[in-house]
Amino acid sequence: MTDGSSSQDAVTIERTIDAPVELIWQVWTDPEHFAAWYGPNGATIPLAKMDVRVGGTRLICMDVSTPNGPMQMWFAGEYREIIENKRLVYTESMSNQNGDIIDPADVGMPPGHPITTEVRVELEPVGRRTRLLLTHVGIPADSPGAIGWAMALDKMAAHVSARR
Amino acid sequence: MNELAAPFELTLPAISKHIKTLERAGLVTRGHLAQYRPCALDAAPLAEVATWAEQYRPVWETRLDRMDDYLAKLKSTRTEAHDD
Repeated sequence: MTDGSSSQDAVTIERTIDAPVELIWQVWTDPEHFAAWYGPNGATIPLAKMDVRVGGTRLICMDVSTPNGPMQMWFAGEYREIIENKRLVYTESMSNQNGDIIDPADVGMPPGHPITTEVRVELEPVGRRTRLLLTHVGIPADSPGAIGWAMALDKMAAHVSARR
Repeated sequence: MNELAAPFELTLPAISKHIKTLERAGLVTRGHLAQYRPCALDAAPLAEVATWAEQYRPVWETRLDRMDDYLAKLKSTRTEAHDD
């Protein structure tokens, strides 16, 4: 599934942060903490739902101010890997408020933006500090991962409507 | 150089300066052919900054800056709490 050409479709950032791994893990996995810092400057996160377990879903709402006035954006995803204080992997797609995935091209994102991307957060203690490695990678639309993700969403939608 | 300058309303020294900049950025390579210095364009590095992922780099840099600020705030709050 991995090939050399995919390396171009990822952004990787490495930082050493002056905080222990446990605290960094907390601000990524506790919705209240996450909402306090995530998003661009000037944005707020009025809602963050995070079912932090493998296969659990996440839904983030972001209020962004644009030159055309305030705008609300939703992002849905699924947790893929959870190793506490060490490795967090989740998918991310633009969505509506119900978590139904939206094609980025339909909301004016530049062409070539994958519908589903994957965010990986890897933490490693360096004394009292932490080395954070962030990777944001695109999942090709026809990959087994993307198909599994679509199926999971369908299951979730069925589950939700069955409960109504 | 004359050929490259022809389509533009720029002086030869100005064109030369622009080519040197592109050469330093690794986007243009220059060869030797008698008294000519033929230029070749290598646009591959431009494709890298044009991918969706590279457009996210500044977004993540800002997010991580904000995370850093928030962690600092958390730590100072905790320290104050301990001092009480």
